[in-house]
Amino acid sequence: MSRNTCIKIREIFSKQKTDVFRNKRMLLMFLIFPILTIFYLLIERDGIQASGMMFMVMNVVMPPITLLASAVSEEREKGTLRSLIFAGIKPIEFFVGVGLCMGMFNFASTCIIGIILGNGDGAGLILATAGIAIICSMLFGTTLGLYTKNQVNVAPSSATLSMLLGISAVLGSANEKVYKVTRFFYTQVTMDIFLENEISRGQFLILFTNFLFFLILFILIYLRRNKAD
Amino acid sequence: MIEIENVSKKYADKVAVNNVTFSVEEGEIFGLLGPSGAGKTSLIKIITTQIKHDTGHIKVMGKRIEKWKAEDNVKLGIMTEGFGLYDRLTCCENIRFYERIFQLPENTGSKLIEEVGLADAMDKRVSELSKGMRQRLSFVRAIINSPQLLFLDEPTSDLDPISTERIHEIIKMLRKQGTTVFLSTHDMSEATKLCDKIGLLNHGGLIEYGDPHILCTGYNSENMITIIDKKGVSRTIENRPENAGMFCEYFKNNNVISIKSSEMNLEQLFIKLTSEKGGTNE
Repeated sequence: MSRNTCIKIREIFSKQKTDVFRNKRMLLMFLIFPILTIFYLLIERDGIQASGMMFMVMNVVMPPITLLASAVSEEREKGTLRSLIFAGIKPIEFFVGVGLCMGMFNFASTCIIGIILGNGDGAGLILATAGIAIICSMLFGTTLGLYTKNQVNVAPSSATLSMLLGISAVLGSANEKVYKVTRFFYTQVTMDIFLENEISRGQFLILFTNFLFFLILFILIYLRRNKAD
Repeated sequence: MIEIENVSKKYADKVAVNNVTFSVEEGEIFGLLGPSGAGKTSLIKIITTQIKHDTGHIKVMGKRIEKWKAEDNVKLGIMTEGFGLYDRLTCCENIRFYERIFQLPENTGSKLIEEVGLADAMDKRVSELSKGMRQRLSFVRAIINSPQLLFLDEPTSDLDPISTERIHEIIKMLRKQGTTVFLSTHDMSEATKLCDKIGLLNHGGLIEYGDPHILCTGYNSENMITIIDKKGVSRTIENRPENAGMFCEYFKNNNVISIKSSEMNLEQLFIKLTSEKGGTNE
């Protein structure tokens, strides 16, 4: 990676960070699941691990999908993405800069949930799995942001889809029939790894396949869009 | 700087750009005029590689646009309809961001912000700015990298006369420094004042192209001159050598308070051509 590319990614990262801190709704979205975990812990100590893991799964699915979709869509709608491209920024530099920043915020809030739950066992595996899940969610969110026409359209679609993905893991854990389908989703695998603190070869393959699927989907949608869009 | 040859673009069954041919020389200000929906924005998007044309050839800075790369974009400055600014960042932060992206010396943008009269709004968020202020900030963003080729789409449409004058002065200064300016505007006085050449687009086709003053004289078919004397009486005389005596008579008696030519201004020419011609480029 050239020095020039690093500078551009750093600047986009820094711009995005300022933008997140000034956007209260975005900040709240990053903090909602840690807040819910604390709230749950205060009212019910029993079963906090399972409920906490559920919040953790929700946290690595919903905020990255909705916020990335909204951020990309806003940049397209306001013409800032076009301005960046005419400033010599390659689309990959933009997506990496924005993704790193949003991923960092999301990863930090996931760590906060982990700290609240206070169970250090298998923290490495949990955080690595959370990282992969966040990347999958961000790829999906970015794809939605590129696919939908504007911010008005992106909000309902990203909220619905992220909720479906998040809740599917919760439902799958509670119902065997649902599990037969949801076990192929990265959200379900993430939930399983969080609860069991171990990963099988099959689960790793499912995570990897999900990642590839979202990456290919992103590339296909990106190629369908031209610069004017 | 820009060579456009037989370029056409169609959206479904609507022709956006119809067989357009013209060129823009280095260091000149070219004005693209035309009514709404004439194809101006489509043409700008084609030249700036945002959309692909169906037929024809385009060269920008001697390079076929098919071979245009992302890195080449840094030679361009573009100010388009959407302002391309970050609402939650301040004026200063927006411009500093681009300063760092272009790796320019610090304060390059601050000087420009002062020049367009936004010094007092430096620390205001873009969301708090008026439309005119955003437009000026967007102009600064477009010229911050001292582009070789600058595309301006309606740069002064929301500005007051003083701010418009400031922007015009900066555009003229940029031309002096060698920047080629491609200006799309509805403001005919702006085009007359700034442009070395204009192209008049209608229904996707180029219906006139050339020096705006020469174009206006070219359409002066009546060739009449109206003189108003001190008593307020006006007299219209045909501009012919035989009538020279009559003109001299007026001036000798120091009687003239106003002289008007039947030559059209650009606005009248624009209305005449866009209402008359169907929009072909032949």
